[in-house]
Amino acid sequence: MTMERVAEFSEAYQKRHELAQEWKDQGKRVFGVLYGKVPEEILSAADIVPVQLVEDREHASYVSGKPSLDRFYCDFVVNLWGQGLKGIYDYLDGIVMYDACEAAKVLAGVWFLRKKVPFFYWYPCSEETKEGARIFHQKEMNQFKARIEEFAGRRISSDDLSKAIRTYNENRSLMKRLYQARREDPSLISEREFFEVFQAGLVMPKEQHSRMVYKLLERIVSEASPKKKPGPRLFLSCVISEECISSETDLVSMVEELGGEIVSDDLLFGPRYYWEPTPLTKEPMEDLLDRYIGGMPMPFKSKSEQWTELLVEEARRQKVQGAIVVIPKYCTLYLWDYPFLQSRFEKAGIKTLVIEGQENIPQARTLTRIEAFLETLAH
Amino acid sequence: MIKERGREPIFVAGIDIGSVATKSVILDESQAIIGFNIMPVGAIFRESGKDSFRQALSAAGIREEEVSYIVSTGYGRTSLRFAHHRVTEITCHAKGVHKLFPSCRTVIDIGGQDSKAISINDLGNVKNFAMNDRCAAGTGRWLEVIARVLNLSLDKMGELALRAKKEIRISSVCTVFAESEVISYMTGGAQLEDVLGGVHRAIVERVVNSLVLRVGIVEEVALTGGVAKNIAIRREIEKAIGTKVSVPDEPQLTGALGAALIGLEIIQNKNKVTQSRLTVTS
Repeated sequence: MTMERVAEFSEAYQKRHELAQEWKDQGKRVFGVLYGKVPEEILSAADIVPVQLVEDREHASYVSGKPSLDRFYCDFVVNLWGQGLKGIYDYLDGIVMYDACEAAKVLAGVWFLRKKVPFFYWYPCSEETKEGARIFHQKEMNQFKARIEEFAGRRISSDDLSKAIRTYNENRSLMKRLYQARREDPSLISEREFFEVFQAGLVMPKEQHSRMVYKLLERIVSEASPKKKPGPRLFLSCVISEECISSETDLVSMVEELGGEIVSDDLLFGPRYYWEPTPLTKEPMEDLLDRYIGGMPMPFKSKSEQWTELLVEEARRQKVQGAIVVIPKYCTLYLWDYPFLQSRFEKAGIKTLVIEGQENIPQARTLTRIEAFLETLAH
Repeated sequence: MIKERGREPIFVAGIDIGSVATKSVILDESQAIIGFNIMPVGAIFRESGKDSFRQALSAAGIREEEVSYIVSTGYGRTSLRFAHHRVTEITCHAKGVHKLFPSCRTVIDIGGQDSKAISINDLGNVKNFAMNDRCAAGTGRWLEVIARVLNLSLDKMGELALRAKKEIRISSVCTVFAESEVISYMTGGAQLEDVLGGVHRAIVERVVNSLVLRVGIVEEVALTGGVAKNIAIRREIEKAIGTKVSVPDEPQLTGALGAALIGLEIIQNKNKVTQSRLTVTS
């Protein structure tokens, strides 16, 4: 599968640490962020470049990270900690970690205790949308802003925030257009190419990413894409995108090379990150609050019925025949919800295939499972 | 009216390259098996696929050029460049079993290094499946390891296990640890037949609990794969699932048979299209 059209994105992602160092050389500060529910706009408004902490898929990082963590933590957290221990992220001026799950808590704890980071912030969460939760969230967000202002040595004005919100909204809007274009015509851009596009967006300023996405959109719409025989339409459910393209097995490419068409997904840094814009109806902090409270239901935080119903509705809307569910190994939160998800998919007439996500997904065995799954969908 | 010329007989081949054995089946267009072969897979899958195919041709008494279509399946299916098409062993086993036992709706396949449970519909298409291919427990490999430890031949294990009088439980889920457990029992004075009874029950527990119950048991049930030749495994499975199992005369061949049947479907569909193009009414 040629990845020429997204080579720019791939390169930026591969060179993310060098690029971060270049921004620092230009006088900017760079913060590492864990999870998409941290209001990055506040960081951006303070002239800080937020970059998501991502798995590097290097075996050495997993090996480094394992000994100092308990067993039964997902490879995502093990890998990040391994990178932390190796000093890969030592250039960061700050780290903000969100209370996503138990494993995230552990990662934050060991990082805070063992690494010296100029600024470290633990962002507590609430996925509740009730009034009491809103008050809690508001206070947390205000406190976070105050701490960032203190670190940055300057006030974040409403104009700063509005500008940051608009920049992020523009990026979300472009990514949403790309998503929608894919759903309507999967031959325009493959899911694998799409992975490169959104991953790059996690590790660079949004203005830069938006320029690249805009160019790509123009190109894919103007170029005649090679029409191929449509394959089974699939939904990909995967919380951690790196699990889908592990160091040994690129699941997404495998599915597409076998003829499957991934037309929709619920990736953490897919629709969950890009879909909802921040409204521009109130004061910027109020608008941010409206965006970051609730949002798309999550396997970690929302009620099982809410989250699974959302996925099934989306799968139905996209006329999907099968769903591939990649569950990170040891992710008890996702495992807990999977039976609900599977039974709802089955009631909707959508077959499911579950694959365990880990550092090394065995290639031959996974190929057989996926190929057999696609064969069952052909009938 | 223009009609097509008299045509040659159609032969198709299915080649199943498994992790332990390569199997080939040659069918004629009436779906009759006219030749087959089973041989150890060896180190080079491609070569074993070719060799097994040639031996099956020889058994069938036909030449390679006479075979219209070849479908490869099994673990090594991607290595067979001369095959026209490849299909997973899941789909092929379903097809093969459906041919042999049309009322079958659940297939349990226990091979040399993997095991599977497959739920099929009345057309022989796969509805659901579950595989264990990450661990030797619940596969033929478990029996091989124990046979080696106890210095027994594989084909005697089942008969001996049937003579078990005392129920012994092998608790380890790992083949390596189970090996140690077997040695402990033997050195502790346990009867060979009782230990073998425990070993066979452990394999079946693994297969039934991890795989078969996941896809669901719908009668009738077929048992395939090399391990199906083991009489004690058959009895334990029947006890565990509460119903009789049907076992083909050559339980290792169902995958290759299914592959050949799929090949025949493809070639017959192509011929239908060609025929409709050739026939012109004046």
